Formats: sequence, C-alpha cells, structure tokens
Amino acid sequence: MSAVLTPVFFVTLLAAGVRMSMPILLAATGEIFAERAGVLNINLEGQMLMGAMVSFLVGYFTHNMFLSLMAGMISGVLMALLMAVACITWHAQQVVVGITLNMFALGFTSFWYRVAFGVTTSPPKADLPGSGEQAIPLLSKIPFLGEILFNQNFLFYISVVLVIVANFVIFRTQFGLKLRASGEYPKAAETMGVNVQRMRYVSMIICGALAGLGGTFLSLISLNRFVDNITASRGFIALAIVIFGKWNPLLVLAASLLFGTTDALQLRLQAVGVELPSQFLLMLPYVLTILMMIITAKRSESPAALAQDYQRESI
Amino acid sequence: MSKHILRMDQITKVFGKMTANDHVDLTVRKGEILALLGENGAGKSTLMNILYGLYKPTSGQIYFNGEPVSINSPLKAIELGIGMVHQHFMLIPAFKVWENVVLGLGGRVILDEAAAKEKIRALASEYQLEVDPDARISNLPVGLQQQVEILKVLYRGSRLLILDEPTGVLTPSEKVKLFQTLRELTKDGFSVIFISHKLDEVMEISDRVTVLCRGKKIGTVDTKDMTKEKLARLMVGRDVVFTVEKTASKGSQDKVLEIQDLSVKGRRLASTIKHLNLTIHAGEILGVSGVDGNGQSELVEAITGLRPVESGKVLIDGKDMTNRSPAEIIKAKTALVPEDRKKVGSVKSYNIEKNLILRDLTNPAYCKHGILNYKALEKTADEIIQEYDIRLSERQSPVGALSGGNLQKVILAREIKSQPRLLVAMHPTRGLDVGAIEFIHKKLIEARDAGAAVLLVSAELEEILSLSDRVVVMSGGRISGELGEKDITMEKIGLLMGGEKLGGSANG
Amino acid sequence: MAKNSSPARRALGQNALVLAVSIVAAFLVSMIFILALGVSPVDAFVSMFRGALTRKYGLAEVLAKATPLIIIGVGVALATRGGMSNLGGDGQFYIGAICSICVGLFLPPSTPALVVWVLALIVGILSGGFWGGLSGWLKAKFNTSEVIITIMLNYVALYLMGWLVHGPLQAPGGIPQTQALEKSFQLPKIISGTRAHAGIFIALASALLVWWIFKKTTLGYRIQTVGESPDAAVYAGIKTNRYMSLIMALSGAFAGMAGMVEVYGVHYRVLEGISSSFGFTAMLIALLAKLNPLAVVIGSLFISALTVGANSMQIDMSVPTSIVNVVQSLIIFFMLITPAIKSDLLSSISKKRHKKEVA
Repeated sequence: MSAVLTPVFFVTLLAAGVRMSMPILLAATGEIFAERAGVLNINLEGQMLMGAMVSFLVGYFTHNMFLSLMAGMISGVLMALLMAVACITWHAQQVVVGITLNMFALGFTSFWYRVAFGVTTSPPKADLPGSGEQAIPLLSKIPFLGEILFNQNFLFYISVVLVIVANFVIFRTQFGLKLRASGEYPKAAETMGVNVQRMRYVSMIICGALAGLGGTFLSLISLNRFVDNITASRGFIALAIVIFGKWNPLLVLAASLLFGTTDALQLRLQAVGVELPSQFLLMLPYVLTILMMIITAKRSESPAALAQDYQRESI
Repeated sequence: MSKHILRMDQITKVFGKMTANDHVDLTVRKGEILALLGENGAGKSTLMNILYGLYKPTSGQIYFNGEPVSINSPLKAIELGIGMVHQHFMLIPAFKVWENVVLGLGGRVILDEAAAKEKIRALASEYQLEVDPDARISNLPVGLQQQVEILKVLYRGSRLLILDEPTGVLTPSEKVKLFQTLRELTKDGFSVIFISHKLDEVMEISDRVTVLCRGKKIGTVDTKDMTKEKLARLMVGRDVVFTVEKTASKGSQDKVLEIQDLSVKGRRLASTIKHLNLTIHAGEILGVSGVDGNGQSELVEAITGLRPVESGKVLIDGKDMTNRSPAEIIKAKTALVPEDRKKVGSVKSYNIEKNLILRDLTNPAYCKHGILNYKALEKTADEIIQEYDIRLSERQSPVGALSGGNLQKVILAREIKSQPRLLVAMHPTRGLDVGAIEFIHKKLIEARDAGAAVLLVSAELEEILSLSDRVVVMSGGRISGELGEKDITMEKIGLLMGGEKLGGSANG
Repeated sequence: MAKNSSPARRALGQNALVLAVSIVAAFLVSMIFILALGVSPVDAFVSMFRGALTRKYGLAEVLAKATPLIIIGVGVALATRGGMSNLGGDGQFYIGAICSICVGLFLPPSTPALVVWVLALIVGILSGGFWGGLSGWLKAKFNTSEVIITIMLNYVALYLMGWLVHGPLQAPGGIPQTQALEKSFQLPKIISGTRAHAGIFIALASALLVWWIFKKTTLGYRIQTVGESPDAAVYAGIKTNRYMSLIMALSGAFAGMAGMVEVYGVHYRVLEGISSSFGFTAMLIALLAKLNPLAVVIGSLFISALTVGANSMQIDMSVPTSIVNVVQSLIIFFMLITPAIKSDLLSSISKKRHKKEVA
C-alpha cells in the first residue's frame, strides 16, 4: 500500500481523473440542455458512439484534428435529430425511441468500422496531432494543481469553458429561460410566445453536438482508437450524473470529476496491484452510479415536463 | 370606430361535432370592463383562447384598434397588446417571479435581471401589488400568483387584459384587492374582459355585460340597467332547468359516513381541510357545494384513501377507516365516481368489460383463484349496456372511444353495481350533455332509494339544488354552512360559498 | 373495412400492415449500406436467406439462438406492459446462469437429471428475479430510474460473473470458465449434431404462460393496469409501489431462467461472453412484437434467422454481421413513427372529406 499513499500517486490519479471525466462531462452537459427542454434523451449513448466512430474514421484518414472534431459533433447532431424527429414531430415515446436508436448506433458504428478496417486483432490508432497533453505555460508549473488542471488536452480546456458557457446560457439568457420553461410547463411557455417544439429541437441539436464531442474525446484522445461499444454505457452514466448534478452544469462538472476520479482510481489500483479482484474495481464506477442515484433520486426535482410529449392545440 | 379597442365579428369555432362558438360578436371599448357571462361550457374560454391565438377560429374576423388582424399565436396577441390571465395560471412554479415575467420577451439575449426587477417593482408600486420579484412562484399564495399574471401583462405594455374566471380561486379579501387593481387599470385607459359565471361579481365590477349561452351570444347590455335576476334569466336562457323527479328522503338515522374533526393537507392552503365534521345517513344525498379548490377534492380523497389524513377520523358504517388503503375502503363498500373520468376513473385502452372490474377484482362472480371469468363479465356488461343505454359503435371498442356521457355511464354503472353503502360522486355530470346529465341524476337518486348514502360534490348549483336532501357548502377547507332540505336556495348557497355565515343556521 | 370485423382483429391487421411497411423500409435502408460496400444486395440477401433457412444446421441454429431471446423477451414484454423498462436482461441472465450452474456443479453426478433441471430452473428464476426485483424495489423506494439502474446492474453482474469464473468457480486449466456440467445434466438436443436443444420448449411454455397471465388472470390485469394508467391503478386499490418490485422481479425471473436454459442447453458451463447483449435484443423484440408474448416467439425466430443469415452473409460476402442491429433497430424505428405519420395523413384526409360534406 505504500505506493498508493504518495503525493505523486495522488497527482497522477487526479490528473487521470480529470481526463477520464471529460467524455461523460461533455455528454452530461448536452443532456442538461435536452432535459431542461423536456426531452429525456436516452439516446445519449448512441450519440456518443456515433461521435466516437465518425471522428475516429475522419481522424484516421485525414489526420486533421479540427475536421475530426467537427465530424464527431455533426454525427452526434444527426443522431440526435433522428430522435428529435421521431419524438418531437412524430410524438413517439422518448424512452422507446432512445433505446431503439442506441441499438442502431451500435450496429451502425460497428458496421462501418468493420468496413473501413476489416477484422483486426490490433485496432489501428489515429495518432492525431494534438491528441496529447498541451501544458499551459506558467500555470502548469504550479505544484500539484498545475499537473492536474493545466497539463491536459486542449479539449479539456475547451470543455471547461463550454460548461461555464452552458451555465450562463441556461440561467442568464432569454434562450435559457425559454428552454427551461419548455421543460417545466410547455403550455405556459407557449402562452408566453415560446415555440416549444423549436426549443426542443434546438436543445437536441446542442445535446447531440456535445455528446458527439464527448465520444470524440473518448476515441481520439483518451483511447486513441475505436472499438465496438467503446462507450460502455458512459451515456447512461452521464444520464445519472445529470440527475446527481441537479441539471446544473457546474454541479455536473463536479459530479463528473468525482466520477472520473473513481474510474481513474480503479485503474490505478489495478496497476498498483491491490489485493482485490480486478472485477470489483471494474465494477466501481457502476456501483457508484447506483449509489448516486439512490442518494439523489428521491429529492431530485427533475424538469416537471421531462419526457412528456407536447402537442400544440391543432384543431 | 376608435372608441372600440376590440371587435370580434361572427366568430365560429367547431371542435369535431361540437360547435363551441356559433357566430359570436363581441366588442370592447377603451377603458371599460366588459364582463363575459355564461355558464360552464357556454364557450367563454374558447372565445378568449381564439382571441389570444391559442385556437384557430373556424370562421370569423377580429379587429383590433379598428384594424383587421389574424392572431395565429400568443406571440401575435402579445405583440398587438392583448394579455391574458388564464383560469389555470400559466406560471412556471419552479421559476422566480421576475423570470416568469420576462419569459418570452424579445430583444435582449442576456437577461438584465436588475432592470427587470426594477421595472417590476415600479409597476407593482404603481398598482399597489405586493409582488416580490425574487419570490419563487411555488411559494406564493394563489392571490399573489394572480398578481404576477397581471404584472406579466402590464410588463408587456398590453392595453387589453383578459381575465378568465379570475375569482374562482380567490378568497374574499383577495377578490376585493383584485377588483381594486382592475379599477385602477381602467382609470389608466386599460380595457378588461372579465370572464365569469358569477352574477354578483359581474354586477359589481363590469360596465357592460356580454352573455353567452351554449356557444351563442344572447346579448350585450349595460350593467347599470340590469339586476342580478335579469342577468340570470339571460344567462340560463329559457330551455333549461331540468327538474328531477325525486321523492323526499326516507330520513334514516343509520349513519354511513361519519367524519370527525378531519384535517388534511391540501394541494394549496385554501384547499387544506381544517377540523371538518360531516355525517351522511343511509338513503340521503348530501350535496357538497362550493367554489372549486376549497377542499372538496381533498375531502373525497381522504374518504377514499387516496390522500393521507393528518388528524381526525373517517368512519364508514361505524368502522374506523382513517388512512386505510383504497383497497380496504373499496371492501368497506365505498364507491367513487372520480373527478377525472378519463385518467382515473377508467383505463382508456380497456373495453367495457375490463373497465367494469377495475375496482371489483376480488368479486367471486368474476374471478376465482386469480383467474378472470370473462364470460360472466360479458353478460354483466351486456346487461349494463342495456340498462344504462350506453351507445357504442362497437361492442369491443376501448372505452377511450366513448363519448364523455357514455364513459361516465360505464363508471357509474360499475360503482352502483357494487351495491355500495357509500357512493361518492365528484362532479359526476361536468361537461356532459343534457340527456346524460338527466340519466345520471336519475341513477344517483335510485342509488339513494336503494339505501346508499350519497356524497355528491358539485360546483353546479342546479345539480346541488335538484338532487340534494341536505347541502353543506365548503369554503377555505371548512364547512361554511349546512342547509336542510327546506332551506336550500341559490342565494343562501351563494352567500356560504363566499365564506359568509348565515344568521343562526351556520355550524362549523 | 368489413362490417363484422372486431376492433381487435382490425388492430391486428393494421399492426401487420405497419410491420410489413417497416420491415420493407428497414431492408431498403440497409440495402444502401450493402451497396456502399460494393456488394449486390440481392446476392447478400440470398446468402442470408440460404444461410438461415435452407440448411438443417442453419435452422437449428435459429432455434438455439431464439431460445434465450424468447424467454427474456416475454419477460421484457411483461415489464413493459406494467410500465417498467427492463434493460437489465443481460445482468439478470448472468446471475441466473451463474447461480443455476452451481446446482449442476455441486449436486452428485448420480442425481436424476430431472431433479437437477427443476432445481436449477428454480434457482435461475429466483436469482434472476432477485436481480430484477432490486431495480423495481429501488424505484419504489428511492424513485430511481429503472432504465439507468438496470443497465448499471448489468455491469455489476457481468463483473461478478467475471470474478467467479476467474476465481472461485474457475475450472483447472487457466481458461476463465467454470467446469463443465455432467453429460447427464445437459438438456437433450432436439436435432442431433446441432445446438438446438430442448430449452426451446421451456421458451414456448414461457411465452404461453405470459400470454395466459395477461389473457386470463387478475395478476396480468393488475400489471397491465399499473402500466396503462398508474392513477387508475391507485383508484382501483392496487398498491402500485409493490407492483413495481413485483413486475421487475417477474421480468428478471424470466431472464434468469434464460440463463439456466442457455447454460444447460448450449454452453454446459459459464464463461465470459456467454450473452451477446441478449437483453437489449430482447427489448427490441418485445417492442417489435407489440408486447404480445406469442408474437415475441415469432419476433425472436425472425431476429435469430437474421443473425444466423448475417453470419453466412459475412462469410460469403464480407458484410459485417452488425448489419442485423441496424436492420432490427430500423424496423422498430419505422414502426414507432408510422402510426403518427399515418394518423397525420388520415386526419388531413378526413378534414378534407369533412369540408366536402359541409360544402
């Protein structure tokens, strides 16, 4: 255990934790938009998966980070739009459509990945420029904190900015007000001139882009490769984190960091060789999610019209 | 022309087979309060929803400030300067006051919280409203919520204010306050449409009255030329007042339901039941009258086990059934015709048979050892369809396809078939056509004559008057008075609804 | 429309029509996928059809693959009818598999096979039921979303099983798997030389049982009422919270039973990768079957045939098997949206007709 309790261990643990929290953080931030507008986007997993696969393909063949990021976001958006059309325009049940489209994303990504690379024992790597850490001058030299917060991938810095922007948009802009009204009491929003369906579409587009970006982070930056079902239910964990973080981007940031650190901890402990079967360590993130749900679900105040279809008086 | 701010010309609105508005004309002058008077279902709300852009009229034209306009969305109405305070407030409970007020305003991308609050405070003090812009809506009493609704309209600089049944949820003092505000507003040149079915209020507040009846406009009159009686005649029209054949109750002393010192936490303060006492005997109909939201729902839910009782007792046939489960209370031979016949009283995807056993799953006639006998059920269903004259296009259709009246007959049939000792009926005829109403009234009296104690909750005075053997009136979660069969008059009930006590006969 | 057709029969006809349209649409979309590979879709589908339905081996494989899907699928259908989304089929399956194999591993080889099977089945049912009921109970008690909890519990079960086959239950030889069952404890084959086994009868019985529960019993009636309208269920005196646990437990019991059947019928041991996301596939099949247990049987056979066919398509044409996931999810996607599209079309038509009548 002596190898565990050193400062170096903690610094590397927390730095890894920050890194590992990113995909979930991005997806969860997107989900906040969707749920705040009243759409329970269970398809988050599928949107991440799409982003992960498409950005990897684009990255592998173009070696261009910017293009890959765009591709990841756009594919997430397209997936989200499919869900939006089915649920918002055609009024299909959100949960059922989400589940179905998750399966679609699983099949779709696996299919095209196989088409591109065939069956391989050693998955190809994208090795994109910019997928490593970019230390921020001066700040990264701060003891401990510098290593943890300022020696990360550039996408981390962007993500943190995105979270802060999201928080501002949701709570301090007219757009955010309309968004929240659409998820709380769509009919009241409509009487105040809000186009609820349009708000829900916009929120799904934002969500798809962020989830796609989360998937991109996973495949291009965290793992540097794509494998089938690479997300391993991170989309669902992100759903839980949104509840845990009370639909608030800053709290979700904190919850994601906690979660990422737990994930990093179990990996570190495996590497160090703790006397606990690795399966119990692997279980940790999922058990933690269950515990988080138990602690928060009862008191959680979800948007009042979450997962409820809204139809404007059409007669 | 310019003395009218609004003219609605020959407005017609058809929902499916029902004509909610039939060539209705309506004009509003600048600076006046126009009352729109009519019974429930007369088409008042439909007309106003058309004006506010929520419904599209089937035909007709609206002129605003003399200009023909087409109002296809609330946004358009707001832009024109029309504001509406809906009967069910359109406020987002999780939002603060200022957020509700600025929701949907164009122009600013980033919310200017300080400026918004400033403007709200200024408006509030101008019209003596006591609204704190930082308060959360869910923490505000109904009266203040209504002030927020009015503020929303003022904030947008509207010139025409529509109030849909604004007093239904208010206490007497809140009502006084509202009327003050409305008078202030008209002094400043605002116009108000005041929708109501209450004659007193209309007489008190309005300058002119437009009367609607069954979707048609009966006429527009100056209030000062009217009396309550004249208005009532206009509102009711001539072809109504259904009389029910009813013999006097036999006057049994057998107490079926006894409520002692009951307190129940309500959905809001006004509907929280405080120390209520009530007794119903076998073979009588007790009418519970009152403005909606004064504790009637809570009373029914507490009796039938759907809402926890805080203190006091509910005795059914002498047995203590306080806080028992709904299943136990069903077993104690209590039947309930619930308020919401579609979501609660029936399962819309089930056919009639399956709806008939909804509350009767332990009846050995239909199920033994957990296995249902659909043959037997089918027979009962056939009988009921005959007896209750339930019209259905197809025998096996899900009841979601039935009309309101037919669905209510199914529910009533189920509840009466269970041969209840206590039959609780909540707004049993709300929104139904005359034929169905008459039939349901007949059945309720039959149930009474068969020895059941009937608790009838209704906001329709006519219904209460024609059916009840005794009447209690609820106000603010209490019983504001009780009337014996010979004392039941519209005037007395009306007074009690406002929470006033009658000299001598009141009890608490 | 024929005058004497009952609403139920008409609904069946409409469902069949929607299904047919959805299947055709899904296949058309996947044709684009196959075309993009430079493979002729006709050749691909012929290979698929041949692989699944023209050879004894293929047919047997379809039966073998359909067996667990039917059992889990009817359980999922039951839960969904009760208003609960059970996405934990895999976890419940693992738990059922691992618990039920212990019966066979620890009973003496001389025990009559029937006793072993019945015991193992009961253990599978109870353990799967416990695992499923857990998420229902958590929902009733803590208001947690059963969607998220069941998925999380899948991973917990997966790693629990992983630990057991790497550790306490690992057979000698270093491969992460348990010891094999006695030959006499294995479920008999129904087609020798293939993997089709007698578990299919358990699957059919399960489907009939669930069908009967909903058709005839008060239990089914109550479950359905809770799912259709929770408010009406409370009014009917049903304790909805208790039913949440019960519904999920019943649903989990079927998945646990599937675990037993798969272990005793196909693998004869527990090993990692024993389920290839049966739970999610079963969910889709239940939706495909419109939650009708008997239709789940047909749906499972159909999806299994697709899967088996896709295998041969992969070998013959190098079209990846994951095309099956695309096809089945698209079928359901189209099924979900066609009613809305259709009703929009119908209402616009009837409006026009109405106008004509008025005019």
